Amino acid sequence: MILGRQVYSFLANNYPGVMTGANGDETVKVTILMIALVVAAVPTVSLADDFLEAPVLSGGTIVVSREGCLEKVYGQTYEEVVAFYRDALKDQPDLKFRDRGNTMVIEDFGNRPWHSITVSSIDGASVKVAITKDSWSWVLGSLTVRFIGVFAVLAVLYLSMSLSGAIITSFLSRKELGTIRAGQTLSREKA
Amino acid sequence: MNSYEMLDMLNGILNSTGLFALTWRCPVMWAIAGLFIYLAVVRKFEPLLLLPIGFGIFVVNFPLVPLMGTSEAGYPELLRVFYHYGLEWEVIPCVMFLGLGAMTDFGPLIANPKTLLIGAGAQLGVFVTFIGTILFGFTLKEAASVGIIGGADGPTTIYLTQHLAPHMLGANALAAYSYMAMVPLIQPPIMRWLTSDGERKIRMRQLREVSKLEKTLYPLLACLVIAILVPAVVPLMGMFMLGNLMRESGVVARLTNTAENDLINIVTIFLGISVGATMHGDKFLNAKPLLVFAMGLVSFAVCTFGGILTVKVMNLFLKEKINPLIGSAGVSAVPMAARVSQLIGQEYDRKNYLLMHAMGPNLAGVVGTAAAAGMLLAMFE
Repeated sequence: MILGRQVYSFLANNYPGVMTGANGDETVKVTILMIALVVAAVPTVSLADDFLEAPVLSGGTIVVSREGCLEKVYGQTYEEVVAFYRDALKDQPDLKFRDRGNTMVIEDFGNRPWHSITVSSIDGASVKVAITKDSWSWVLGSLTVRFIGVFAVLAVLYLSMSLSGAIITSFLSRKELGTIRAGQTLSREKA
Repeated sequence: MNSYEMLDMLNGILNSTGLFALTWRCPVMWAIAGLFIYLAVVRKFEPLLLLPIGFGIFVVNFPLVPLMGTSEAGYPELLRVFYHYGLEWEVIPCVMFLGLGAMTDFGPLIANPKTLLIGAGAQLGVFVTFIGTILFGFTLKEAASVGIIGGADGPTTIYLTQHLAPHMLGANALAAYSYMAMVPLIQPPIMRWLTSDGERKIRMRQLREVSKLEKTLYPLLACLVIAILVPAVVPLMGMFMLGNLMRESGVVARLTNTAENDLINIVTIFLGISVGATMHGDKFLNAKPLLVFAMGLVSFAVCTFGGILTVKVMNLFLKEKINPLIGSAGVSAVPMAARVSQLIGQEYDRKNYLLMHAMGPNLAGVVGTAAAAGMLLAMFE
């Protein structure tokens, strides 16, 4: 209300024509002005607080801003920013917090429009936060790598089995050959 | 006792029955349970599992039955206990794998280890279905648990689903076991479609004899590789390899006998009824389980396709060609998928014996599905 009165006084002093009503009821005008200010402020606040429905810490400097990516740099500590995201996302299911020392990657495995929030410390002095959009390229890339990974696991097993099989077979055939030779020597001696 | 008290008592008795709490969901779920019991009893489709699963579905879909809830004193009810300790604690799938390991002869795989690659190729459906399932609005974790159905390995499906999407356990397990039972119906058309007449008649050289030493060392070697590369599935594969080591070492015949008979039978009962008990009408009757069944079928078909395709690719580089019909056995369903390869092969050449050759990729499929599950677990953990 105080803010409304101050704005009203400013407008009344500078633009007397605009703020002069028919009945001159100041309280009604101040109330209308307050409502108008609140209504005007709401979208501003919501735009500043999320990107692709991911929470965005207010303040900071925008480094990159495009459709699928938002990067901001903050003058806060890494711990403060991480604590903000931990708190903001604490009730959200299907999220994974991956702590990699100076970087925290928060991945979404649900159906949210964003895919990841990466909080990384820059020389301990400032923190960069990057929010990326959910994308098919990540899903396809990740699955392709994992499918190849299945081949890799079984290929390693294949190679180790082939190698151990060859060693065991040669060991057993040598042993068998040794037994045959020993048998032959024994029979020669007997003869 | 006056008439008012008498009426009050009768009213109390009537309210304690389930009559007034019946909803339309109950008979629908009884019909679904009846279908699975029919498939088990009459059609002999995986009766060891579909029978207890069917009964589990039937019995939990009565109102007021104290089975899957918590008692007034705060104790879990009977089937909740089985479910909690057996499935939520992931005991049953691992103990089942112990028994399966004790039953399995890895000889055909050791004799021809390149068939391991067929087991890897047959996991194609797991990953393709993953993508398809996301398109239907499933979360990534749910999609992974649906994709693994194509691997045709019940315990692995249960293990992965319990980790990633426990609310889908009933539908996923049921789809996995149903499709495993339907291998002889699902695979042959795909096998015929993907192979030429000449390919189906390829005869393979008889497998070499595998020494006892190799068979004894195999579970240790496989466990070593898996524990290093995909540690997430060691609870499953470790138990599998322990069962196999018990079998092949030959020094613990009593334990092997217990693992492959009594123990696996006991856990099968608890597994079946616990899985069935998760399928309460309130949760089950919506579009998701239907989509799970549809996508599970897609996964199974693509896995079959992947196995055959892998053999065809391998044949481009091999001197001694592999019969592509054994590629379909790369899904794990042991030994059903290998038997199907044998049957289809003999339709075209009566003297072509593919069974032992198909057992290689079949066993590789078990390891491949576990590796795929490990990869998917690592994606989220």
